[in-house]
Amino acid sequence: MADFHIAYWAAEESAAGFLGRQLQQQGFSWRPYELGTVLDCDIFILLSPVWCNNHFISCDKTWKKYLELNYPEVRFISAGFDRIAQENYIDLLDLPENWSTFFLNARISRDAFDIIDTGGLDISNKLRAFFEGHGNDSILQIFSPIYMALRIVRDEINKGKSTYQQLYTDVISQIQLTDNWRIFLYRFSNYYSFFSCLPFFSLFEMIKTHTEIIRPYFDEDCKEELLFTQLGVMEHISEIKRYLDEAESYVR
Amino acid sequence: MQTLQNAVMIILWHWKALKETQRISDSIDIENSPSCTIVRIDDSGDKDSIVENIKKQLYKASGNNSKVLLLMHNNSLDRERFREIEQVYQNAKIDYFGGGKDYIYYNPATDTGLLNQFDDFIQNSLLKWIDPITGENRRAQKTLVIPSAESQSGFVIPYKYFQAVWQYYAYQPKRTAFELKEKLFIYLVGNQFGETEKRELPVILQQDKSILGALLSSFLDTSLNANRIKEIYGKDEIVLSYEKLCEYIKTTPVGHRNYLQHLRSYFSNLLQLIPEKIYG
Repeated sequence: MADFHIAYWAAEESAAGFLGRQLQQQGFSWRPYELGTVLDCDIFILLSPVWCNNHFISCDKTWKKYLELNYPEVRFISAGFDRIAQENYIDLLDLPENWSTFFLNARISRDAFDIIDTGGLDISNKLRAFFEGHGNDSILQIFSPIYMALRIVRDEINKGKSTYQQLYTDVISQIQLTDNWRIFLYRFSNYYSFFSCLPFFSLFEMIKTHTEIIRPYFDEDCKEELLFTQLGVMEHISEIKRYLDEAESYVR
Repeated sequence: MQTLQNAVMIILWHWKALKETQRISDSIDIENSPSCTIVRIDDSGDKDSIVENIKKQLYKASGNNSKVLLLMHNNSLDRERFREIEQVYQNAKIDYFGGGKDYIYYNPATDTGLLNQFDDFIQNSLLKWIDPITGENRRAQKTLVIPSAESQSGFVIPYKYFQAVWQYYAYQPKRTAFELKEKLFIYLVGNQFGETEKRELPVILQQDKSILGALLSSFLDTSLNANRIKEIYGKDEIVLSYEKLCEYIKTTPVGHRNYLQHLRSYFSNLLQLIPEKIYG
């Protein structure tokens, strides 16, 4: 028997518990994966679709992409209740007779292979809408002008050429920074719960933390230079951008 | 079949008739159903005013103890305003449509829906479609509205069409069936009932007093749901598939040989027959 270490992720433990018992009886190591931690395994199994934010979500494509970029040698396998025969899918109602053979035949993450549609809401479509450059849901469309404006403010202050008050009039109020920030938070919060089934959810958690730190600045309508400098608003905005860029890499 | 009472369907859209008369909203009566109404709201102009108008109509309907279904075109407002309405009016069933493909648009193949793609109810529309049974190209003129001198708008909407749209958005058959299927399998596989289990699933869940039991009980209400499905899709084969599934769940002990595989087949058959996407 091949010695595979198996990690899994499931929103519901009961089906995972069932699969785990079968695999452990065969001598495989089987343990849950905690989002945001290092994935140390040969086989990763996603119980799909995932019950999340009052929807069943199919996040298989996005998990596969994440593993492809970070753990290309790991075999990514979906498991669910659909009657599908595919080398990277486990039909929980018709388990493989020989697990070692099944795992050996499964493709590794860097291979191109079709991802099974497990019927739930396709989170990759939501992510695309979130990151695309236009549209009612686009986060980048609303974040980019915020980032640009605050960078100008920071750079101009550092150069000592303009006062904060001048920059407030010429830049901040011109792009209606407070309103745009409010829209950014709305859009972000609309998606946040949906993304809690993603392997890189910790990036969104970090973004949320940064938005909370600089909230007092926006609560004061961006008028307080002291809050801008003391809170380090531009540094936090840069961090948000960094996390958004990293999350977007799993969408392309 | 029980008819709908006190049902208000509010539709936010770029209504041609409202633009032409420069009104922001109006009410359309439903044939032989005095307590049912369609409220049309215009989505042009100032967005805050549109939201205010929606709130006014929702407030009015809830004051009359009516059931409310609010259908809004995807592009009528921005996401933030949609969320604002959703959060304030959690008692109203709210859904969205757009692109000419949702159930609310008239579909000649099933003779369901209310709207055309030109900002109006179906009226004098030349329709072309492929007959789903024969595969033949079909064309016909269709007018859905019925002239009525007694009605303030000068016409009424036939109850049948109003009822089908209402049932579809209130019930969401495919999503309901799909989510129930997934939840049942998670439960059944997790519990690993053996072949000695002689109880049927509704009995087991009733004894468990679980939320899943309540969901299943609602799904198995065949006298209500079979009619809903018939009204929504107009197809006997979907009703039949639904009834077969319910019969299997009600009468088959969970320990029956190949229970899970058979249950899956019944669910798959039903889900394949229901035409729309699970999550619209």
